[in-house]
Amino acid sequence: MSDHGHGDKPFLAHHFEDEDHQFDSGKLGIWAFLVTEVLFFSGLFCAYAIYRSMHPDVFQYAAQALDTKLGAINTSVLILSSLTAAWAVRNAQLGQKKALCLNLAITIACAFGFMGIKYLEYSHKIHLGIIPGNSTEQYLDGAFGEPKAEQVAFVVPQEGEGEEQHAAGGEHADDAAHAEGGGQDHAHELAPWNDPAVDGIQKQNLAIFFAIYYCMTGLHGIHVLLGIVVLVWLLSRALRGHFTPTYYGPIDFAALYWHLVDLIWIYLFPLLYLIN
Amino acid sequence: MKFGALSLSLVLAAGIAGGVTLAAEPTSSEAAAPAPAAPAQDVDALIAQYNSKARAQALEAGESYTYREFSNEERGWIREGAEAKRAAAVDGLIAEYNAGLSGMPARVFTDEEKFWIAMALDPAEVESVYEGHTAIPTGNPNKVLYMEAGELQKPIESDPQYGTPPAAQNTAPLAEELDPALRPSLWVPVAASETAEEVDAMFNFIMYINYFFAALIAVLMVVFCVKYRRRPGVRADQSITHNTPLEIFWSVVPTILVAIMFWGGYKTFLDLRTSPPDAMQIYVKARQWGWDFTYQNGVETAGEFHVPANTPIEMVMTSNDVLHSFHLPAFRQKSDVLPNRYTKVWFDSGEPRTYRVYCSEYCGTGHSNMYSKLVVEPREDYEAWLKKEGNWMVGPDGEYKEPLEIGKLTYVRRGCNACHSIDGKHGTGPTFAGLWGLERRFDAAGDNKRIADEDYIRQSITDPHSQLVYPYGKNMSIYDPMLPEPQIIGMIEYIKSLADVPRDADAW
Amino acid sequence: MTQVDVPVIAPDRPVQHLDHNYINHSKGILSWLLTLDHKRIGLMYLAGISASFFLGGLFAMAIRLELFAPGMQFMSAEQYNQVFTLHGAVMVFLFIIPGIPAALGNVVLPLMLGAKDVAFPRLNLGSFYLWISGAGFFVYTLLTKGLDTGWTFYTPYSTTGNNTAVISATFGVFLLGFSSIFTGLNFLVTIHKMRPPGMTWHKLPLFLWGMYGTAIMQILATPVLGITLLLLIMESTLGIGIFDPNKGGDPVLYQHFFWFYSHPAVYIMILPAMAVISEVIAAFSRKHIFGYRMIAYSSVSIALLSFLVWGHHMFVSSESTLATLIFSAITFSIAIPSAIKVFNWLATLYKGSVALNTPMLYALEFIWLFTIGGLTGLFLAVLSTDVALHDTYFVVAHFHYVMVGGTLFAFFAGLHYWWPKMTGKMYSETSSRLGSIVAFIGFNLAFFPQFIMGSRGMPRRYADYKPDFELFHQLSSVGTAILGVGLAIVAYSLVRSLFSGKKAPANPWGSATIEWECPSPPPHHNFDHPPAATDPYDMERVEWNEEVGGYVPVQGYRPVVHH
Repeated sequence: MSDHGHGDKPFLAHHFEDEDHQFDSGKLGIWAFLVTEVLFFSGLFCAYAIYRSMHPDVFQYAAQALDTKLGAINTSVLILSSLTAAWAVRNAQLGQKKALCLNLAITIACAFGFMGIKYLEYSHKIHLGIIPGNSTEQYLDGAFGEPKAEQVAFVVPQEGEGEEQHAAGGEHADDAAHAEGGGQDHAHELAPWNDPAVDGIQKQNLAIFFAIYYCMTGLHGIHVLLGIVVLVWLLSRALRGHFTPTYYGPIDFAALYWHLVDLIWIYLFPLLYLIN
Repeated sequence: MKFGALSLSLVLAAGIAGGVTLAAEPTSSEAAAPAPAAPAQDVDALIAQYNSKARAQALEAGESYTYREFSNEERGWIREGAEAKRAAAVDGLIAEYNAGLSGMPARVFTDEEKFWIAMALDPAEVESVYEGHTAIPTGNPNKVLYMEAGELQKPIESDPQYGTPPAAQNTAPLAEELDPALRPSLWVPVAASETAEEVDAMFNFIMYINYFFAALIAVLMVVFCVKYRRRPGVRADQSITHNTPLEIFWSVVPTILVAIMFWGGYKTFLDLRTSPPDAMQIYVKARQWGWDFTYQNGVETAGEFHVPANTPIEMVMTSNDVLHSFHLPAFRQKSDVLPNRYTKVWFDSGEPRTYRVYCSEYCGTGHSNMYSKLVVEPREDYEAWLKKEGNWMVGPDGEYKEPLEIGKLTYVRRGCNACHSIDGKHGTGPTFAGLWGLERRFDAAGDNKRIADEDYIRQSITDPHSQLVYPYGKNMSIYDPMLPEPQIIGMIEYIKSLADVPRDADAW
Repeated sequence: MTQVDVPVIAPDRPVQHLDHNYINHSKGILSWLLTLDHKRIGLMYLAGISASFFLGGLFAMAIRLELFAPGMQFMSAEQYNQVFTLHGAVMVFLFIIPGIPAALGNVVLPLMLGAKDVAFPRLNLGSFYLWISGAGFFVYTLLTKGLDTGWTFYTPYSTTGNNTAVISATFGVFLLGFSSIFTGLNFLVTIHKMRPPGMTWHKLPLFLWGMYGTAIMQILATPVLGITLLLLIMESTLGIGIFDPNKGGDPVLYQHFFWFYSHPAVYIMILPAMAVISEVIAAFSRKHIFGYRMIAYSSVSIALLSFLVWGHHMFVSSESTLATLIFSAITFSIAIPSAIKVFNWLATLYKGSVALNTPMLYALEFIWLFTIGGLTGLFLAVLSTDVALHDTYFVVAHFHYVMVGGTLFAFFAGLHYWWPKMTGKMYSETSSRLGSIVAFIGFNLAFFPQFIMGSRGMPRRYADYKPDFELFHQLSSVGTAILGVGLAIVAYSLVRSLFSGKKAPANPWGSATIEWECPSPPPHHNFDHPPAATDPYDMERVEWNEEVGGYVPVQGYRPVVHH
């Protein structure tokens, strides 16, 4: 067919002169795409910067609801996956099919691991009632006005009922992190926010923090999912032995994309979880 | 004690009749032209005025002053005094009018007519107002123009008795600022202030440059196309590919020109942005779809606002809902009005004239009817207007009007009529016709419902989004801090009174 | 595909017309829908954007009919708001932005490079389907609740209490944005990596310079629109509150985000137009373009500066005085490259051999309209006059002169210029010229009165107006009708050429760029061997041949080097 005009080179498209030409074009393309991606996220980082500079105290307070431990685990998982992705490129260049498949598989496993932990974090928050948008407001009203039993866990972690519920849900990591990381008595640290005098405006701003949190991590999560799709496709091609030392572009490009996804998380983690 | 209070009240009332309510100094024109008679004054206003005067005197004398409270009995005396004075003033004006009739039998005025006289109308005008129901509605539902001897008269405050909310919106007279006699050029409306003239100077500068370049380019284009048209045997001169000095020349000249424009524009822009420190401030609240103005003394007015002539005015603006933009073409002024902050524009009011105010930021259905009118008038007229405007809820007897009356007025003054009809047609919001006692459904299935009673109406005004009738959206402004109690009660009464008006089938 | 369908080219008589070409290269609807051929994708885009333009044009007619007299004529205010919103959104997102790059660019760009295709043909087809799905969301919007936010989707109007289909519309724009990004990315890589031997950056045709600048803006600006619209969707569906003042958000932040994209987008619309005009003016003057480097550099500088001027849309939206100062200054700096281009085009006419064929007619009309549009932009860049003119009909007239007078007329210039190459048919010069002139007159009548209205204070987006402005509105409506007639003649002439047009020669106009070296219409593969590139404006390279009815390369021609 016209697409595969170069008989002996099944993956060289007809409109390129040779493999190098194709590879160079692809490389420029993927870099341009990464620039696009960076700018895509830049809007969110901008929003983050603006609202954090407007309400630094709100961000500092709200970040305590995020589980640093899980965040840190996820960071290391992603860094590991980046390493294996880079390794896979080397394997492809050297024509090591087995190692290539193994590294790709590890990368995919890490990506799934990341999403699993993310799922735990999200479901815990949703369980607490921190849902992006309008309902967050209702939740916050409850939390800062008259605490509802189920929701108290976030604000006053050591209170009995809330903790039990957590344990029952199998999601006590959050509580544990709070207890370890932030000293024994969280209620005191958080006291100013429990004050009935805290006005609605501050509560609204709290909702904005979680809005930004969900948007940023959510969008990042979607990128991880896309990465998984691409990596699985590449793994299947690698298993079929498509990649050779002269044709390894797709692996290289996917790895670059994966590094960017990793890099964005490396910025997200301190910006969202480690505000002190 | 009793006597003292009475004399105090008379003093106050007399002061008001003389026009000192808000003016810096009393006017002495009472004898020459009949000063507007005092409308029934709110007792609180009189007391506030007493206190501020007394405080000023005390401060002048270097003493401290404590706000004086009045007992209910004293307040009664004050009201009686004010009313007596007002009645006397109206009687005086009527007598003057009858004296002017020279020979004809004296005219007897009804109570209603006397009310209009008390509302700052000349007795001579009363007939045309009262008799002539040839009301011409304007863009502002609160204003009705009256026709006398085929000529338009000064607009007066409409009352449901005399004017109905306007049906046609576009019969307003030519805006004065667009009057060809006042316009400085084809391009722009009248320049109402010095700053506007500065803006025009820049406008003209750019316009001349534009004329020049447009002509230059058009002429060159035509000349080249004709002179160098394709002819057999004539070939293009291929040696002309670039000419560095020429290219530098035509890069630098425009650069210099735009640098001049930039700097001149920036300087005038600073003038437009920087209001003088002594500017009179008026607070503006924009809503879908109308403008509310609050004066420094707390008087609120909607739709139209008046300012004294030759005074710097600063509008301090915020929005109740979406973005709007306060646009005063004659002053070349404009600023967006935002829901989460105050923006300001200022202008020097200049000569007495009326101007249109536009909303120039798209804000939804009523955007193109969101006009307001700026009336620049002599200070005395302005003060009389302000007095009148401050008392729209008070009847001729000095008491609050009936709740139903207040409700009817509130309906137009607060702009309810922009979305809620009273004739049964559905609009942006549900119609008020036949609303009372109706079952309101908040979802398609009707699981969530409520009967329209007093509580329902109150909640719909103060927290409308908490109970949205299906399928309406969150369009309504929240009137929580804005609508005083008498107006809420008025609205309830008004809606009650419309209970039997039939509503269309598709009006939810 | 084998290459036998391209007959052997005799050195002195290149093949002019190709009966077996890319259009009938393979048959069946799927061979079009799944094609990877840039030319077919370009034609499909052309069909799509023409339909969009027609739809947007109907909305425009409805607007002008409604505004023919004060008072509401046949629409309610709600309907009017929907119609003007959909007019703007359809025209901007579905027609003007993809118009020249995606439709004409797709066909022409690889041909101009002597390449067989764009760098990523699958991505190209993907872009097209993203465009189709975006358009689909628009149609869905139209058929359901409509849209009444204005094409800018300003918050909080678009997010709080809006009953129209904001979400489907914004999602449509989001998809269209990614279509635009991928097209830009594709063209960027294609121009970088697929140039033929001998085509150095300074021998790149100016159309490609323009497309290159456009691609930069598409790649760098559009993602910001994407994320902004995602946030807007989140805001509308979940109420996250980032732009909602009632929840501590800031509606003006939305404007900043939006215009960070949409100002470059303005240049995404006009830069390709300027690029087309550079080609057309040179070709029909039969003369080397004047000041090649200045035009090329001005394209790139416009592309870069366009990122720094978004704040000039917010001079009266509570922007700080310092910010207005900076944005106003940079705005002026972007005016200079545009002025340079106009002077260069005029200088190209000087001592040329000017033929007023239809494309040239459009190009000259473009120069006039763009000049008016550009000069009136000065009023809006100057801070003091902008305060008076912002959000009035003056702005409406200004951007219609630039977007319609500029981009639409340049689009027609390009369409008529490359029509013989794309379709292999010549249109009737008489009817096409007539259409062009009628449209030009109608356009000026439609939009010039709006300048006067606007500077007198008439705000934009008004469903109704006071009688003071009646005369201008009526002139404008009459002009629109004339414009409509003109466009109908244009469409008639082009469609008729498809059925009864003469067969087009390879190079009907005497241009020196590479795309005219392959037959009309081109074969599936464009070129068997990448042609060697020379100076793209060395018009003496080709000469008129009566027998062929077009231009053929001069045998043994050696370019004269001018410096």
